[in-house]
Amino acid sequence: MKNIKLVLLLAFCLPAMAIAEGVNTAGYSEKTPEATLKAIHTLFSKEFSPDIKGDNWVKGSMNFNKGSEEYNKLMTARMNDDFDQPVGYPEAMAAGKKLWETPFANGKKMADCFAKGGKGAANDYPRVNAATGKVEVFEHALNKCRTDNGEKALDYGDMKTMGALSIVARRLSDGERIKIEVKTDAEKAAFNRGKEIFYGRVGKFEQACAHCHIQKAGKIARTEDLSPIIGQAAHFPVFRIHKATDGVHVITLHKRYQGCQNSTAVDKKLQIKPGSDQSSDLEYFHTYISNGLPLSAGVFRK
Amino acid sequence: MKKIIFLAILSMLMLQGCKTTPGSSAAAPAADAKKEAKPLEMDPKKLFSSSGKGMGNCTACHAIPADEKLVAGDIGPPMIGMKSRFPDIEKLKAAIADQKVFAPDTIMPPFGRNKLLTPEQIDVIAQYIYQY
Repeated sequence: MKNIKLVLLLAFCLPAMAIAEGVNTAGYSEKTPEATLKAIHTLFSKEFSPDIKGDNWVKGSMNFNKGSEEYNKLMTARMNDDFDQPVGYPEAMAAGKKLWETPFANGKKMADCFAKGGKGAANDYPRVNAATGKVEVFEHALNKCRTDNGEKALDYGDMKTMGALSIVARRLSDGERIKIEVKTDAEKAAFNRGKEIFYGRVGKFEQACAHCHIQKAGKIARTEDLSPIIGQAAHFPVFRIHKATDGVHVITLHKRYQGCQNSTAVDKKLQIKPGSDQSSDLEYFHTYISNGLPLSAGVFRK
Repeated sequence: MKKIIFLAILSMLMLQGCKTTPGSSAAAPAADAKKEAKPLEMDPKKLFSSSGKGMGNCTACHAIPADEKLVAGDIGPPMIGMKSRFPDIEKLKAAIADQKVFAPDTIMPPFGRNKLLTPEQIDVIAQYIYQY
């Protein structure tokens, strides 16, 4: 009877697993994090070298489009000009600073939860909790700080609170170089879970992150340049153009994952959500691929 | 026998648990019902260039160099020399319906298999791009 159960289970499960199969592009078949990283770098150095070198990877799709780079320079200059700030920028920075600096009811502040007042703290994440095996991202630590001090947790998908706070807190780690080491079994498992999501086909379009950001990186989709995976995780949260106000708004990395899922017609009920285990696993894999690159939070990206 | 039927039902329920990647579902019946309430778009240029439900959004990836308004993406090959590339138009329709059959790692959505477009719409698009 056990055999019958096994046969039936396999018969029903295999087609489902086939739908979730990964896209065999650079890094997919490599067994270790080091080999995965090397395969992706090898592909991109062949595809784009010598145009993109070193820290320039953080500039993403701007590397392929001078017009986009000029636009970014203009918007960055405006964000830094008190008299010409785009709508949404000063509001987000004020909201983030308020959440970071205002003492909790118990008198403590966010900065008290982190060594060096939060300087460099964002670069300790994402990391794997050895006890639970789960990935903790910096935004989890920000919320833990709040709840440990008797405050309510912020909604990971709310860019006006968590997004704004994340930018202010992460900017304290700008310039720090990503240094994720995948050594323990729990870390390897987390890396593989994130990798499976990155290369896995999802939704009715059956597209994967790896399609746009490895296989087709540097190509153009509906007039937009597709950025390479290398460097992406180093520069979030970003300020993106907000069509409704002609200003900017905050988008965290997990929120961006939702945007990608919307663009590729993944059913909202099936999407991975900001702050979830799956988004965090993806961030762990994603950030590892940007190892060595400098963090730069709150930059402008079209 | 009862046990076998029970196990079969149990296995079907476990099917959901086998999906390790989020969002990996076929077209939802409820969404199809809603889509059918709207009249189907059959204008070839609109089908090719518009995005959203019931549209091809082909422009996102495929350029038509002969029409400068339809040059917006280069993920897929441009629409040129279609007759020489696809002497049999049925193969072109089959590629639109499910390119994964011909290229397992393709980024192209399976418009027919996942019911993103009807066979009639695929036919209209194939005839339209066949002129280029």
